[in-house]
Amino acid sequence: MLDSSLTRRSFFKIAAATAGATLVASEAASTLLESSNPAYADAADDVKVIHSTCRGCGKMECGNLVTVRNGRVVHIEGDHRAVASRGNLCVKGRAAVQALYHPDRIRYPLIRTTPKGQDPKWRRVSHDEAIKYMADGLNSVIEKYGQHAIKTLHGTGRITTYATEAYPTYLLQTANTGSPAGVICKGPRLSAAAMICFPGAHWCNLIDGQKVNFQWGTNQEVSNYDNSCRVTVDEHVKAETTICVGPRMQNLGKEADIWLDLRPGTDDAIALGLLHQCVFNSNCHPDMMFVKKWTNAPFLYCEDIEPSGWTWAGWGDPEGKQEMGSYPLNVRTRILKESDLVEGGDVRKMAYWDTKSNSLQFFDTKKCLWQGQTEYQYPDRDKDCVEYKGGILAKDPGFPVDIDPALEGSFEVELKDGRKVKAEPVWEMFKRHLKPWDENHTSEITGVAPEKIVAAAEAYCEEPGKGGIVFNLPLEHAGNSIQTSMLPLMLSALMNNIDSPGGQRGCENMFFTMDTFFQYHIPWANNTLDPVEQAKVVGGDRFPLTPWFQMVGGAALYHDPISAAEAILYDDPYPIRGMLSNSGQHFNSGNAWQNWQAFESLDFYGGWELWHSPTIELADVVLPAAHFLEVSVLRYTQGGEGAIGAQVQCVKRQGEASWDSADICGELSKEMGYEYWPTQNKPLPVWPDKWMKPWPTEKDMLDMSVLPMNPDLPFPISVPAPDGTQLHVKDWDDYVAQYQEHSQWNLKEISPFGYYYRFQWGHFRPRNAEDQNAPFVPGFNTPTGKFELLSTLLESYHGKNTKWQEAPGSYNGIPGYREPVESPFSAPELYKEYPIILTSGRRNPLYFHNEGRQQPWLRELTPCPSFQIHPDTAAELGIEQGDWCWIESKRGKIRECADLFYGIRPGTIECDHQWWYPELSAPKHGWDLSNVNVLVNMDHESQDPICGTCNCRAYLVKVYKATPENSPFGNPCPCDDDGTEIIHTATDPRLKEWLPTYEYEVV
Amino acid sequence: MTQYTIVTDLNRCVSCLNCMVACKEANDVPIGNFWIKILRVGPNPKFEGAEYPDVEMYYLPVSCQHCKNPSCVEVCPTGASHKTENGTIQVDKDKCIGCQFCVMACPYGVRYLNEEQGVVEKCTRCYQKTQEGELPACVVSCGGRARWFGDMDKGWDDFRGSLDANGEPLRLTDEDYIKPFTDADVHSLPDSGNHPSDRFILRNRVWR
Repeated sequence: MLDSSLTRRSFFKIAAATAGATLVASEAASTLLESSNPAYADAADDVKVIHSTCRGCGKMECGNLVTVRNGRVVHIEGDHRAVASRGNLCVKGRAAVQALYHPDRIRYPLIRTTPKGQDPKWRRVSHDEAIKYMADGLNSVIEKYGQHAIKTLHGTGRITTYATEAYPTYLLQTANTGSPAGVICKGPRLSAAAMICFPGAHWCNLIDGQKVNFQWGTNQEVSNYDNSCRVTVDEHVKAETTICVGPRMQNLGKEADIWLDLRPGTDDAIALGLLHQCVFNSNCHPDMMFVKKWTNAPFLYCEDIEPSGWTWAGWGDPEGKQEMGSYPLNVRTRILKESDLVEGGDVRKMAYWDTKSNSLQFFDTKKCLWQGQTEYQYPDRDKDCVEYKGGILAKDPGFPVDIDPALEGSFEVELKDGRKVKAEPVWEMFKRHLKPWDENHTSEITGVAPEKIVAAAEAYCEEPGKGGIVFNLPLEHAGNSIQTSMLPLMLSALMNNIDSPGGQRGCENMFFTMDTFFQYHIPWANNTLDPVEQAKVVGGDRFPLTPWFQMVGGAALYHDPISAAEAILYDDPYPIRGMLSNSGQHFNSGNAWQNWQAFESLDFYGGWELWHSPTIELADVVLPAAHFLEVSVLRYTQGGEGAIGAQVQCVKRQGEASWDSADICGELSKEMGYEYWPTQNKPLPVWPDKWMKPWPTEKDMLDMSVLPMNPDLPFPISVPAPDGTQLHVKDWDDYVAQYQEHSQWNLKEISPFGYYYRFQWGHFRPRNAEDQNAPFVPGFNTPTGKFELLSTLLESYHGKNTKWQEAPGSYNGIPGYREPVESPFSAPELYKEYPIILTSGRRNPLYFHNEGRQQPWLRELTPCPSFQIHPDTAAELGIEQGDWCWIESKRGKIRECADLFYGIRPGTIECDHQWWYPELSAPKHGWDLSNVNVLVNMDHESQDPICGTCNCRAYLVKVYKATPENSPFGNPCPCDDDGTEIIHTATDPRLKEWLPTYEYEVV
Repeated sequence: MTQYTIVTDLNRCVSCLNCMVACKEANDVPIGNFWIKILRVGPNPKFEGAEYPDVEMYYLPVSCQHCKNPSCVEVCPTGASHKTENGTIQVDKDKCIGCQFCVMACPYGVRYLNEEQGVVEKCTRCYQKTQEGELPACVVSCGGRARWFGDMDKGWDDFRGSLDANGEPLRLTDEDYIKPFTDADVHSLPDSGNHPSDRFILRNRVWR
């Protein structure tokens, strides 16, 4: 068995002899050798190693090498050359073959034959019939109820497309678009960062190394989100100091030097506590030049004036433009403007006090010029810059004019009506806001020992430039997502870690708006929906910034799922009667039961899926989606590592699976009677007509995605790297061929990502696309052109006396703390009955949210859901290791298995999320048995007041042992409606039935 | 002499479980059988009487320890389980009768009956790879670069791990990846006279 007749050398010979094969050093050339098929050693075999990109999880772009033998994927491994992932390939990526060839994949179009809520008894139909059915269904809803009666339900973009996300907006013209999952993951971080600096700022670059590795509510080492496990561990080990924030001891958190073990839902409080230290502790040394020059801290604020402002980010205006386009906002601020002081003064000129001239001066927020400044200042390449890890690192040359804006003090100014009033720099207000948050107060709220708060702050703030802060979902889930997501960015900014080496370098969203060098969405990322219609998005009355967040794009392209469910169930504020879904689920955002009942009542629901997941069992028609190993597409790192590559189709699509972007959306549009897909709008006015194909083929789309890299363009689109280097490709095939040779490209080598601190160079603000001579404007793409410590948008829409809810705990637009709505302090009566604080979302390396439960290699390692509980708390409740327990909130109850864990705060539990049981029957597949979203709140009060994130963590539950007496079928183990148990052991024979089948293979 | 050994830097192991799945793939291990397992050790109180958050934890990958004095070889009635020249323990499937005496004798619970074939299986150190000069699947796939393979009789210099950007295996002696450790930081699983060969590096923590 162990003897091999084929040596490594002969393997390579075989591979080399294969036409089109690409060879790279491989971790496991011999993996093929012990394949159960003895025919392997046949020299006539066609063996290729294809250099591609994994899509086993949501967005980390691990380069991979896919071995294909005779048209079949036989092995996947990490690509050691990939700059962003360093050879990492997690279990999800490795087990992808078990998804590709899974016997239960949806491979043919299906139409339901039974009423919704029952087993759909799917009937296989032809592709054309399914498309027609879907087109008719959508059209009839639009005809009857109007364009906004359709909503999308988008998963994590896993079929390598965002077409579905944008398709309804640009073609059907509904405002209820995007990925509702985005509102609980990344969307708030993108939105919050877009408000104060740039979208995606929460993403850190780790591959350039960090002095302090600061992991806040992350589990990147097992989630690979959005830095790979290998890079995370590498850089954690290399860092001088490591800080981990979270209520439970995490996988890599076990190695942290400082663990801030906060009470769930108090991330905002600990952030304010750290900011307090940063500003008031004499051992902390924030970068005051950054604060003065690049933030709005010096601008003078006056409580005694009425807020005034202007319309920002209007259509067609490059200023304020985001990835998907523009949506006009009314900026209303009490920051003093020239227009407050003199008749006919400019509303865009904001006042600061210059201590050198001892006079009031103005910063022009539209042109981003200080008073007296006439030309833009860029660092001097010779004097100010050094090369650092392949990038250009400039020290700040200081102010371009001879000024020193005051951060402190109070200044009397005369308004244009003659009133004399006091005004003070925003910095004074910022300090006043932080003042109460000393270590003792912060400790009282968060439960973290005061000395640890001080130690963490002193380690991170000892000097500027120690690296960015990696922060993830927990900050978004306790009902204060936008404000909480702003606070770590502010801490990082004060320490000059915005776009620094190892800092908040952001993501792909930047590249669209600023210095486009490729187009991922071509030509979809170009909103065609009128702002008046955009404003009709459900929840827009409560969360008025939603339409603008939708322009931010990425995961911020969302609508409020709770409002959407109400629109479906109660026609409030208008009926939503149709839904289009791309692998979306009902149990991630909002309450699962409310969503289930809503989706069940829809007039029409069509979607595409890989699996018979519970939600799609409510659909009228489902089309089979292609697996990522069956689709080519351009790929870039979502996180801050800065790499691009390609996902290359490795095998032919099975059954009638389609790539939704090219096939389904196009055919659906034609069938619905539209004259074009995807849009008639040109991304740029100079775009030649010949590129605007009304019905692009798949190849057309792929060619268009790399068009900006074409060397023969009649006009330049791409902005090169600092040394002038650009990536040139003729077409998609050329791009793939170059990728096979090169592996991932580091954006530093081919784009302005090669500049650190891009705000110094003008690569953080959009540029007039029609004027190739337009200057690059240093600063940020915010209303003030600054990194905003006082968010003028927060002030304008959720400040004092606006039409909408005031941001809780905020101070005139400076973000603040909100106690979770269900906590021992905010709801003491409820706490008596529900005495446990629930947190959720811990990452299991095997599963990407609801995925992987039917892949044997994954499910056998964690067959059933578990929750972590402190042994003392468990003992009080009579719970032992492995007991099935009921976890019950005011909204519902589920069962998970107890895992006694000394690393979690007593009185707190951490529940697995997103469970369902593919082995149980349609339509529910057991989602209601263990899915944590059964428990979550659907009250508007519990939502984030700014963007509507539902309250997914830090709420109250009770926990008790499941017994034969209190469990259906007398069985504490969750069961199907007929009493069949779920799979709960690795030896369950049903797991083997899920091993690959090659019955549907197309060779 | 040769003693093929796997050393795991437990401070780098984050329980990403890559080793478990890579092993499955490389060795076609039946569903429900595990030639390597990751155990969570703790969290335990850092010191007597310590409470949350003063706890510590590590993960422990456990596979066949390729003992110097293996109980499984001793009890095997047919000679199927045997020690090879490179110090590894292998099962000759032609000789194995599936009696599972070895499964019971093994102090670490890492042997499994392959029900289809009626023979006992376990970690081979990816014999099919190592004989070709490659690294075992659990070593090269390790997400945290925690696992290292080499000949213990040649010393630490011989140990190689995951690949660098040029496709060359990293060395255990590279301090960029392996922080300094002392002899006191090097541990093995409990030894009941069978002398396990695997080693585990654990710094700043109590080995339990």
